[in-house]
Amino acid sequence: MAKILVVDDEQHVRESLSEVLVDERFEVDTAGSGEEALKKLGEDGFDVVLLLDIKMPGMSGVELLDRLREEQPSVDVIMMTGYATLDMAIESLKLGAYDFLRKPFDKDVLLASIGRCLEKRKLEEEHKQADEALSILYGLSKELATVADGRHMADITLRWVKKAIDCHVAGLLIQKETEKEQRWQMMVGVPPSTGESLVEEVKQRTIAGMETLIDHAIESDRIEVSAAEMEGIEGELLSHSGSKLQSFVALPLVADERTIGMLTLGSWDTDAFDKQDLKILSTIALANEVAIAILRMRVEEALAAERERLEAIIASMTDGLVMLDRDYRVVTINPALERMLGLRAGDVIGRPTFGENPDPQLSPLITLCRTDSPGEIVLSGSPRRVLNVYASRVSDSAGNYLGEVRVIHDVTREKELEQLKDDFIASVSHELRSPLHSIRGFVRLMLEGKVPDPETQREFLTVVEEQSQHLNNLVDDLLDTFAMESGRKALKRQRVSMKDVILDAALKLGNKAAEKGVVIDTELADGCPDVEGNEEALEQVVTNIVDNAIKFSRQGGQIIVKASSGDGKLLTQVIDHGIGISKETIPRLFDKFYQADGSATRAAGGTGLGLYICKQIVEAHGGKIWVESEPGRGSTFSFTITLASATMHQPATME
Amino acid sequence: MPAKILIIEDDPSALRFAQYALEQEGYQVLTAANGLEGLRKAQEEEPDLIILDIMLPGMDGFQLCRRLRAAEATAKLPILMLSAKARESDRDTGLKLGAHEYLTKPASPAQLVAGVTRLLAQRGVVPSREGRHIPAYLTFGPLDKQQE
Repeated sequence: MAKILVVDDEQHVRESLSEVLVDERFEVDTAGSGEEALKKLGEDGFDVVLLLDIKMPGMSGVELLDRLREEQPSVDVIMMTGYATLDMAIESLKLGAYDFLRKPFDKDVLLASIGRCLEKRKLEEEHKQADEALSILYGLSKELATVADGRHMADITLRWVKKAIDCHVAGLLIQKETEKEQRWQMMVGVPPSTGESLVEEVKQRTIAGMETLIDHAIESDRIEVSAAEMEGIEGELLSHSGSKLQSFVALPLVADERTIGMLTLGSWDTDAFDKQDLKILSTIALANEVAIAILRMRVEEALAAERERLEAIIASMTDGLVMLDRDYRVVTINPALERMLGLRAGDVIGRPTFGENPDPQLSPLITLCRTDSPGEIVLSGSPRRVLNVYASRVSDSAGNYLGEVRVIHDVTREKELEQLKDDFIASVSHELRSPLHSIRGFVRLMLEGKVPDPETQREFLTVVEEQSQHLNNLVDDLLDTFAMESGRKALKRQRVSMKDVILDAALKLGNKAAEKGVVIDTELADGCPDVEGNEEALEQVVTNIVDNAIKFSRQGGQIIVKASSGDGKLLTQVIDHGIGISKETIPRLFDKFYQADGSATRAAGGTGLGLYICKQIVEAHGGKIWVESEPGRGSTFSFTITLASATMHQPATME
Repeated sequence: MPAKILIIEDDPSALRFAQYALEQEGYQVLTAANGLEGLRKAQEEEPDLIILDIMLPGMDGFQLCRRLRAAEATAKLPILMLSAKARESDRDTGLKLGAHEYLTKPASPAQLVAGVTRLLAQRGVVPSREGRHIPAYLTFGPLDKQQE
């Protein structure tokens, strides 16, 4: 009930008024002078002062009113005096009196005035509370709007709540939703250096409160708990350290009609939270600022995860990518494009690619390619790069044009392979057509009866036979090449005596060498240990190289075939003293259809595939093949094959 | 005087075939086995027509053709390219470099002779020595006139 101080210098007036007011259940005190009134007001809180006398000895009523406005502005004053003049009334009201009544007082009028005054005070108080809650809400929502993580959000919420309500600990429990699971994050606001038991107590109580709301148990070990420091209550902690919570309030945070968290306050004072506190708290909770922030945070987390995923995809793409805005300015480029064009994202982002002063490297990708058809762009320089550019327009879900994306696929390698394939086919065609030309030509001449002379006929038929043989070799070599390249020729590996292989080859080619007066000598050191390989294929290698050596040897020359082991390998060398190979030719010697000297090789029946096949075979064995040569003095062809292990005897299939 | 034809070809059997086929038709045939020898003979022997292979050791047929076209004396000399290079792009290259005709191997004696005869006729050169048979499909108007 409201407390009223009656101030009058006449005792009977004080008494009769007190009587009336006590009857109405007001709490009443009295003062006989302005000075006494000030004293009493200073000691105890009053709601209303009935200042009955303007004229009092000492301090006058008006003077007292003036002092009160300054010192106790929350106290309402009702003036009552016998000198009821209009001037006086106006002056009192100007000084801040709530009302002005005439003496002798009318009981009903007096009570009505007091009643109105108290009503006014109640409204003012409610207004003040609402104001406070609103200002907290305003500050809170303003800060929450910029926050992206849960911890920061909890800090802010707890700080603002602490501003409005006196509490010792506070907690914020947030339901975090990820794709896979639901997690709870708990922020406990406690004074600095609080024991863990208190944090745990707040946590348990909050969880218990939450469980009554969400109707199922929260697994407490799936809750991340971190402690946030509450400001400004460290001093209090000292006298309360270790104390248990005496008061506890919990408020659900609701968004989308679902409880997504809980805000809790605790104090170690009994009955620490009154109705007013709860009102402020529910205003905050009802306004959903925190809940909305939680939702927004979830959306942002999901967006950030999505963005990260997207960025990771773009960064790991092997194709280049450039995004452009509506004005064809670079929004971003990915690392693949940086590598492709040798530029840095930092240098081109924001640059125009079209119109005035465009980026010289990116501009062609943009201008030469329309969104309706992919473009092929050839970059000059070495090696010549070929890029396929695919363009697409980017619009948002509402169909608004946002810009364009260009995906750049480097087809240089594909183009090179295509070219190699084309070249190979052209070479095969050329090599097949050449002998066919002679065969067909001579046969035709004879069929048309243009070769009457038997000697010439014989000469031509010999050429036809040779050329047929050459075609045959060519087809064999081609089939070998295709088989080796496609990996279809599975070479069965077993223990092979290189000694036998070398001696066989020397024997087989002996006649051919003898025709040219060339001698083949062998030097097989250390008894020539066995190797692990395919006998037939290795024979082909040795035969091929020795055959070449014969072709390029001079009349009466010598060829030496050497074998020596070391480092787990057998090194086989074929040394000739023939015409040798020029330095420029060596790197291409093992290429397909490369012929060191077209006419000489062809005349000698070479297909241009022999050394290529040798290289394929040796490499399929895990070995190496190379040549050293000095023009005019001869060449040395060498290759290595792994020695057979002691236990190796069973044939095995080599991949 | 029969027309003089220079065959530049490194493949001995192909050379032998072309030489025999053309000599049968009464032409005088010169031969060269590589580009340099071919260039020298083209300049010194003043042939009426050149049959040019492309894949030659050293200077290839394309390079040789360019050299011949660049020199005043041989700028208009009829050149028939005869090669196993069968790609459309090879033919285009040859014709662009100034060859008048591009024959792909394998070519029959008739194709070769017809190509030579046609080129010589266009140049106003008597295609073959007197008394020799001229293929029927070439014995029409302009040729007879030019023979006179």
